[in-house]
Amino acid sequence: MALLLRKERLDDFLQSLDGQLAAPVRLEHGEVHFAINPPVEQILQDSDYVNSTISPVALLFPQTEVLFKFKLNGKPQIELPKEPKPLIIFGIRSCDVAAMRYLEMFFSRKFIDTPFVERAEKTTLISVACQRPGRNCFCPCCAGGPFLEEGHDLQLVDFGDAFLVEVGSEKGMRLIYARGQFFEPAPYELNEQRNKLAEETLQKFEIASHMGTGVRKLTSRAVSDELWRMMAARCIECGGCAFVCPLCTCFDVVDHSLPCSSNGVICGWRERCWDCCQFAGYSMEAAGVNPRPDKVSRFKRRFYHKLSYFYMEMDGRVGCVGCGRCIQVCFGVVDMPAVVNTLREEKLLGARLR
Amino acid sequence: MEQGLGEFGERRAIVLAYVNCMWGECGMASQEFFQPLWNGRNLYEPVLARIVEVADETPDVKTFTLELDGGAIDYLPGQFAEVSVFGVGEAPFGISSSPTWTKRTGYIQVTVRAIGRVTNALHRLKVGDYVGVRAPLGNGFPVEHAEGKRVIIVGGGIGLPPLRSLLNYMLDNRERFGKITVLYGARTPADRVYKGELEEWERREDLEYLDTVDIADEEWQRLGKRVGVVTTLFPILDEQSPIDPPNTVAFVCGPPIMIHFVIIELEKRNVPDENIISTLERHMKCGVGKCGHCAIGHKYVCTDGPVFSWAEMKELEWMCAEPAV
Amino acid sequence: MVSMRTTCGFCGCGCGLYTVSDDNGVIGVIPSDADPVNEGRLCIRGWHVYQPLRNMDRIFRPVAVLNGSKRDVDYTDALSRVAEGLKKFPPNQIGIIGSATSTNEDAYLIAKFGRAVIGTNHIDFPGRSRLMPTLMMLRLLGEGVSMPCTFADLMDADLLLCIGIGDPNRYPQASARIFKAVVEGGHLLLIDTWHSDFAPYASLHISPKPFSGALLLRALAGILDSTIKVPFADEQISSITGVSSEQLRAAADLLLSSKRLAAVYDTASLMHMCSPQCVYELARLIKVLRERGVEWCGILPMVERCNSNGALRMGVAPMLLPGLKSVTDNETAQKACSLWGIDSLPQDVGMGVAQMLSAIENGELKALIIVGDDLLTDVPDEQRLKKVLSKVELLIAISAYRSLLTEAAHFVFPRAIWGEAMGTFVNMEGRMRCLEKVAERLGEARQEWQVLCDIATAMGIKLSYSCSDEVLDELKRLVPEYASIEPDKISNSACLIRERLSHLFDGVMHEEIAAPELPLVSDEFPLLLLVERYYLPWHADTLALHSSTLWREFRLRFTPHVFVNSVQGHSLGLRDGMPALLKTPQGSARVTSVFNEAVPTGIAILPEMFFAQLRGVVGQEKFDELTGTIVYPATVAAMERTR
Repeated sequence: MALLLRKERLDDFLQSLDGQLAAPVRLEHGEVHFAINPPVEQILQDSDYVNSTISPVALLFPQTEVLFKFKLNGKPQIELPKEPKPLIIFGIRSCDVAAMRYLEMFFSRKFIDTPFVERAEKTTLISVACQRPGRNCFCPCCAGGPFLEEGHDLQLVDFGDAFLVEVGSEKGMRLIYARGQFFEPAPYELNEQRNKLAEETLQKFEIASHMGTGVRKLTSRAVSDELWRMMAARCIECGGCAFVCPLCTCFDVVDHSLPCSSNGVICGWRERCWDCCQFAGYSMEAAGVNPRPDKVSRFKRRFYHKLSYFYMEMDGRVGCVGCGRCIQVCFGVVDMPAVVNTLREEKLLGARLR
Repeated sequence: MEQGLGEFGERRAIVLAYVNCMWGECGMASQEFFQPLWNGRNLYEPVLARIVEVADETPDVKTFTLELDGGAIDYLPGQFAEVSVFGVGEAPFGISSSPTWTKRTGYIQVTVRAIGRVTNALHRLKVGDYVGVRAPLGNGFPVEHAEGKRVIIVGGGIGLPPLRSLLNYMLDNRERFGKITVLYGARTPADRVYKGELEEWERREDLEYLDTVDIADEEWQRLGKRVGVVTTLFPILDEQSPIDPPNTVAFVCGPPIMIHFVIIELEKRNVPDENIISTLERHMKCGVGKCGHCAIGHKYVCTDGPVFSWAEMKELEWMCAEPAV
Repeated sequence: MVSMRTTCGFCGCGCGLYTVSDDNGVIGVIPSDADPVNEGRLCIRGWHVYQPLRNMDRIFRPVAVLNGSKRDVDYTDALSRVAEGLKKFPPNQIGIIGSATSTNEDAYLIAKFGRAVIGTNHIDFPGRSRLMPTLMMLRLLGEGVSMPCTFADLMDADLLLCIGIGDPNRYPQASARIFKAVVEGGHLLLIDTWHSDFAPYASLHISPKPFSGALLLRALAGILDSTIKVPFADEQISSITGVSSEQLRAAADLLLSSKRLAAVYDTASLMHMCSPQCVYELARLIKVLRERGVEWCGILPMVERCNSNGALRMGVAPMLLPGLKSVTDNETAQKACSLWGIDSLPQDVGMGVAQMLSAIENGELKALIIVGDDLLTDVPDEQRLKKVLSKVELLIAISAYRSLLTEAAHFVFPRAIWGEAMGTFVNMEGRMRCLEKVAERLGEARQEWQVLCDIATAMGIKLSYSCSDEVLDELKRLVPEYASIEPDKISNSACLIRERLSHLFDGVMHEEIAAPELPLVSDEFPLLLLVERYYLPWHADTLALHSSTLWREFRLRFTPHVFVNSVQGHSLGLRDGMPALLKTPQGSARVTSVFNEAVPTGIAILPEMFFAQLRGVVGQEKFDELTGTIVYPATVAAMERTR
C-alpha cells in the first residue's frame, strides 16, 4: 500500500503526533543533531542533510543512563527511573533503522534489557529514504539502505513536492489510520518511479566495502598477523568507532554516591555508560589479568565481532550498517571500509615496510 | 527443567531462535534450557539481601550467607550471582551453596576473595548489612550429563566454591551418580577454603577425597599429608581407582594455569573433551549478555557460560583466534 | 535532551564538542564535525570529558585550619581570614602558582592579582618552563615561518618532519593529520628514539640514541650547509648518535627533496626536545632549509595541557606580562598600571616554580597560593613536595579535589572544574577556544578569577567583573594584538593568536655542542634505564582520575612498569606483564616488566609517573638551571624475572 503526503501538510502531520518528536536540525556551525521537539520549520528535509553526527539510536541507548537511584539509610531504598514517554523519530536514515532493529533483537534476546526495550516499544520510526548519499556512505554493501524494504514503521520517499509514504509495520499502520486526513492515495506510477529512484541512488555511492570478502577472509583466518599489527598500529584506541557505531552495544556500569545529609544518609545512583573493546581496561579482570593485553588483540577482537561468520550466524546480519560514521571519527584511517579493503587486498594503504 | 525467579513475578519461559546454548550443540543433554525472564522486574534492579552470616575462610576469603528479600531462589550448581555493594559497584560470584541447601534453609552463599574495589568493600560489611543480588545467572554445571557416571571434581585454591555447590548437590542426590572423587590443591594449608567441610568429605565413605598443598606448614608435615601441585594426585588416582574414560565426567575449577595442566592430565587418560567441564573467567559487568565485557568470540561467559566443556573451549579458541583459557 | 557547544579541556589539542544533558545532568558528548581542530574526531579523553561532572568525590565548601583542626567554613569568613593572613607578609615573600588548566580569564586574573594586588612577580605555573625553548625559537625564527601552525597546515606539506613525538595517542589530532597525510601519499621523516607506531609509516625513521637529538640535528644542518660548524667527525657522530652517515645523508636528501615542509615536535618529551639546545638546533636546521629554498608550511610545537599557551600569554610567568611582554618593558607596564589603577608594577624578574620551592625550603618565601593540581604531576617527588608545603606559613589552595596540596593547605577554596567554568583556552595551534558552562556548579565551587577577586576585595582592593567576557575585554585593551580575536568563530583565522616578540631574549645561537654523557652499559648492567613520558598524558590533569572510564585505564598503570622490547625481554628471561627485579648500581626494586616494541634494544624505559616510587634505585632528578625543567637521571640497569 502506498500513500502520498503533500509537503505542505507535513508540519500539520508532525504536530498531530503524540509524544515527543525527535527530528534532525542543523546547528549554528553546521553539525546535524537530532533534537527533541524542535520548531517544525527547523526540521531538515531529505536534501538538506546526509545524517546526524551521532546515530539517533543514542536516544534509546544514551552514552550515560541512570539505571536506578538508591538511598542508604538502614535498609537501602531503590528508585527506578520513570517510564519513558512515547517517542517518534522523524528523519531517521535507513542505516539507523536497520541498526535499531538489530538493537531490538540484541537487547531482547535471552534477557530483556528493560531500559532499552521499554523505550523501543514506545518508539516509532519515520525514516526518510536517502537519495543523496554522503561521501562516507556505503550502506548498500551492508543491507542498510539507501531505501528500506523492511524494518521501518513508515518510510518517506521525497518526490519534490510530496512524500511517497510506505508502511512497514503495524505501528506505522496505526499511526496513519488515526491521521487519514493528511494522506491521499499515491498514483500507481509513483511506485515504479520509486524503484527507479532507488536504482539511481545506488549509482551515486562513492565508496564500497566488500563485506562478504571481509567475512570470508576473517573467518577462514586468512589474514596474516603482520597485517593485523600494521592496522592496529594506526589505531589510537580512542573508542570513537564504537561510540558512533549504531550497532555497538557495550557498556560499563558504575556507582556514584555522596552523603546527602549530615545524619549519614548516603544517596547515589548506578549508571551505565558506553564502553569500547579497544580500551585496555575493558577486558582487565579485578586481579589484574588481561586476556587481551595488547592493542593488536583488541583491534582484532573488534573486527572479529563485526565480521566473523559466527557472529553473523547469531545476529542475522554483518556487524555494520554502512553509515560511515567510523570513517569520520577514525584517527588512523582504519575504519570499517578501510579494514575490509585491507583484508581483501592484503595490503595496507600508506604502509612503508622496510 | 525449568528454573527461575518465582518471586520476580509470573514466570515466562522463552524459546528464542537466538538461543545458541551449549546443551543442544554438543549433544551433552537433551534437556531444554530456559533462562528465567525477569518479567515485570527491571533487569538491572537488584533484590535486597541481608547478610546473616560472615565466615572467614582464609585471611582474604570470606563466605557470606545471604537472605534474599522475597524468599529463596532456585538455581543450578555452577550458576552465579551478581552482588552489589551500593555506592561501590557490582561483581559476579559463583554461588557456593548447593540448591538443595538453599531449599532447606532459604539462604544462599557466596565466597569472596578480596582483590578489587567491590570485593574489598564487601569484606568490610557486617552481619545485618544489606547488599543487592541478581541471581541466578549463567548456565550452571550439566549435572544431568554426569548422572550414572563416575565424577571427578578437581579444585584449586579459590576455585572450589562452585564445585562445593556441585558436590553438595550430588551428595544430596547421591544415588543418581557413580563414584565421586574430589581432588583439591591449594598453595598452603591456610589457603584452603571450607576447612571444616573438607574434613567431613575426607571422612565420608561414599566419597573419595585427595588433597595436596604446594607449600606445607608444620602441622601439615606432622600429619604426613601430600605436598605438590594438584596434578601429582593423578598417579595416586591411577593406582587407587583408575579412570574409565567414556564413563567419567570431570569438573575442573581453579586458576587458569591449573586448569591447563589438569586438562593435560585428563587428556592423557583419554577422558573425552565433552566430559571435561570447566569454567571460564572474564571481566564481567551486567551478567546478562548485554555489556559485552566477558565475550570470547561470539560466546558470552555470563550467559553461554561460565561453564564450558573442553570441547567447546577448543572450538571457541579457533573461532575467535584468541586463547580462551 | 539539550546539546551545548564547548571545548574539551584535557590536552593542548582543544577539540570542539557538544555536551548532551538531560534531567540527570550531562550524560555524554558529541564531537563537532564542523570544527577545524578535530573534524569530528575525539580521543578517549574527549569522549569521557563529561564524566568528572558526574563524580561526587569533590571539595564542596571552603575548608580552613582553625585552631589546629580542619573544618568547613563560611565563604566570607574564609575570605576575610585569608585577606588578613596575606597582609602579614611583604610582597616578595608571597608566591602564586597558577595552572595550565585554568582559562585565559583565570590566568589573566592570576597575573593581575599577583602584580596589582600583592605586588610580586613570583608568579608561575608548572610546565611553563617546558615552553620557554619554544618561545626562544619563535624569537629566533622571526617572521616568515608560521609557528605554531595549524593542524590543517600539516596537510599542505609533502614532507612532515616529526621529532620526538612518541606514540600516536599522545597528541591525537596531530597524529590524525600525520596518518592522513601518509595515506594520501605524503612522506614522513621520523626522528624519534622510540620505534613508535608511526615508524612503519615513515619514509625514513631515524632513531638517535637518547639525548643525542641536538647533535643529530646539528650534523643534519652541517650536511646541508658546510659553513655550519660540527665539532665531531662523521664516525664520531655515528657512534654518539647511533645513526650512520648514510642515514643522515638520506634524511638530508629527503628534506631537500621536499617542496613544502612542516615540522612537528613534542615540548614535553624528555629525551628530545626538552632541552633548549635541541630547540636551537631545530631552529638552525629550519633556517638552513629556508636558505636552501625549502618552503615551510609551518612548525607545530605540541603541548600537553589545554591552556599552557594561554597561561603563558596571559602573563602567568615570572618574567612576562600579558601579551608575552617582558616585565621590564616600560611601555606595557605603564599601560597596565593605568588600566589596573595602580602606581607601579614590580620590575624584577620573579621566581619560577622550581626556585619558589627552593625559596620555601630556605625560608625566603612564606606564603603561597596554589591554583589547581598541576604541581602534583610536575613535581613527581611527593615526599619533597610534602616537606616543602609543610614549611609554608600561609598556604591557600584553589582546588576541586582532595590531594596532598589541599591536605597541606591552610585554606582551600573549591574550584569549578571543566564544564562548570566558563572562558577561553589557547590550544597548541594558538587558536582561541571557547569553554562553556554546561553544568551547575557543585557546592560553593567558583572559578579562580572569582575567588581571587573576592580575596582582593576582602583585602580592601576593589577588583570585580560581572562576567568572564569583561575580563577578556580588559585583556584586549591591554594587549592590542589580541583585540581582533573572536573566540566564537570556529572556522577562520580570526581566532588565531599570533604575536611579535621584540622584547624577549637575546636570540643568539650557541655554537658549542657536546656529546651527551651517558653511563656505560656493562655485562652486569646491560640496559640503559631512562625516564620518559609514556602513553596519553593522563597525569597532565587530575580530572582524568575522576572519570570512571579513564580511571579504569589509568589504574592499569599504577604499578611501576619498566618497558623493554620483546626480543630484549626474552633474552633476559623476562615475561610480559610479570613481576621482575630491577637492579641498578644504586639498588634494586620490584617492578612489572612490560614488553613494548617501541623501545629500542639496549634501553629500558621507566614511565615518568613511576619515577617517584623508584627514585632510590634510579637516582635523583635535577632542575635544569636554564629552563627550570626537571632533568631525570639516566642509569644503567639489569632486569631479571622473579616468582
